[in-house]
Amino acid sequence: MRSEKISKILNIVLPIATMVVVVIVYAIVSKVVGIDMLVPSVPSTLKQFFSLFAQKSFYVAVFWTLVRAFISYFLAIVLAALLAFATYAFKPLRSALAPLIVLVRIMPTMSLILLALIWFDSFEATILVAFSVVFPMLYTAFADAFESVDKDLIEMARVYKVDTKTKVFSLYLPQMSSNIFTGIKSSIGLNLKLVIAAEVLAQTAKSIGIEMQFAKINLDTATLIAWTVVAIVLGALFEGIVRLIEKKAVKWK
Amino acid sequence: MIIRNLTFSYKNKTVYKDFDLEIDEGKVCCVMGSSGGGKTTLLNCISGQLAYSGDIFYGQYADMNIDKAVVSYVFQQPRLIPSLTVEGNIKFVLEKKDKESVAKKVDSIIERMELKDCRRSYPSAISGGQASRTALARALVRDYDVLLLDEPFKGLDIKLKMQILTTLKPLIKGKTVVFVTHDVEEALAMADKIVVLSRKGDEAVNIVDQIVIDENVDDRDLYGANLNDIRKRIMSALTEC
Repeated sequence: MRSEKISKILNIVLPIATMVVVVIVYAIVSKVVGIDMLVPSVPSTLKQFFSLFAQKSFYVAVFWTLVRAFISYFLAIVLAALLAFATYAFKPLRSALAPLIVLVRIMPTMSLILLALIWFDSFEATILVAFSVVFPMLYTAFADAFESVDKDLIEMARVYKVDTKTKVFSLYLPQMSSNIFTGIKSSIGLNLKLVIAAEVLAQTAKSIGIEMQFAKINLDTATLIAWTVVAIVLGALFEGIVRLIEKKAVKWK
Repeated sequence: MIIRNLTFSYKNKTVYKDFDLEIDEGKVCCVMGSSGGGKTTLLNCISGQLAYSGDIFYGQYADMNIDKAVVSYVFQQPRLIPSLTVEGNIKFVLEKKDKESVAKKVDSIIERMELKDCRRSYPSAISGGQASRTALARALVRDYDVLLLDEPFKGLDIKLKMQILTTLKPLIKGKTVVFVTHDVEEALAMADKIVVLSRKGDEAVNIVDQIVIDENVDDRDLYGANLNDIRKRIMSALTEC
């Protein structure tokens, strides 16, 4: 009981301590370099970070980046689930699609961004880039999730002629949840990172990416780091929400 | 139940060929024999999991195809869904239309199978005996036509086995049951008829012996000294497998 309490406290204290160490190391590096334009001090970065919240353009940029991230992730997750189901129901389809999935997975992201920029406008290109990287990850997670459902339990449900709704919600989804959540946790933050990277290269208007690009052009490193912190906070927020849902959904574990 | 001309092959090897068996409606038939002798295959044919040729009929006049039957099956492993509680696992096989009736049925079987203490526990947190009882409760909670039991007490200690058998016996009275077991004493305690199957090499399954136990033998004391003649006959048939 006592060791459980200590473990709970450590789980909260240790990550905070790590962050404090990172900030201290950064402050030391900043002090040693001594050039604010290269490595701005912690106070000036924080000042810049909080000043972002006072600007209307901040909310516009965050909103549109999140819209792009949401669209690409939504499309990726829906299509991945549908395709994984199709390949589960019709096994030869999985073998047929395997080379395509590998091709999309190993294709250099930079080639993808450049091609997307040639073929589409900047809004669509950012969505396509994030989708192309995240989709194979989610497809593999869903396909593995379908395969991970215990065959003995499927057989049992078939013998007892259990209705489809009960089978889906009481058997398939809980059995698949572990693989699905692992796939989502490893791709949701990456999706946001890819959207921002594509926004930088596509010079997408009203985006976090373009704000970072402006900061870089103006050699405003403090603002660039402040936007980076915003992106990290958003990514962490998404992952936190997913972890919370996972905790509620798989309480039986 | 009447099984006629049952033929089933697996990987080009014949397991059953024109196999016939009759089980009286409302009686318990124990199927015994050596490992790999086709006992579980027989249950899987009856439950519709395997595609076979031949006919399996059930009902009072053995005139209905087994496809139409409500079959309950207790597998060798409890096969409980890890994300559902004991209660959830029992409910899983019931139609959810009438919630009140479902609740009544579940409460009743939980009470009779002595699962009250663990009804809200997940399978990972219950003992082997409780898991076996849950699997049995899941099979018995439905209004079934045929009950198939595939060594449901495998791995349980004698005391626990006796406890469950004592609970089970009145619950399956008057029901058609096919009970696969390796344990002669389990068979003697439960069966109205004992069938000993044999399968040598790649040959098809054949019946070595069929023993009908007199209805009047009521004093079946598990591991007791009665039914000695039948016990000897089963042992003799089993040695031929």
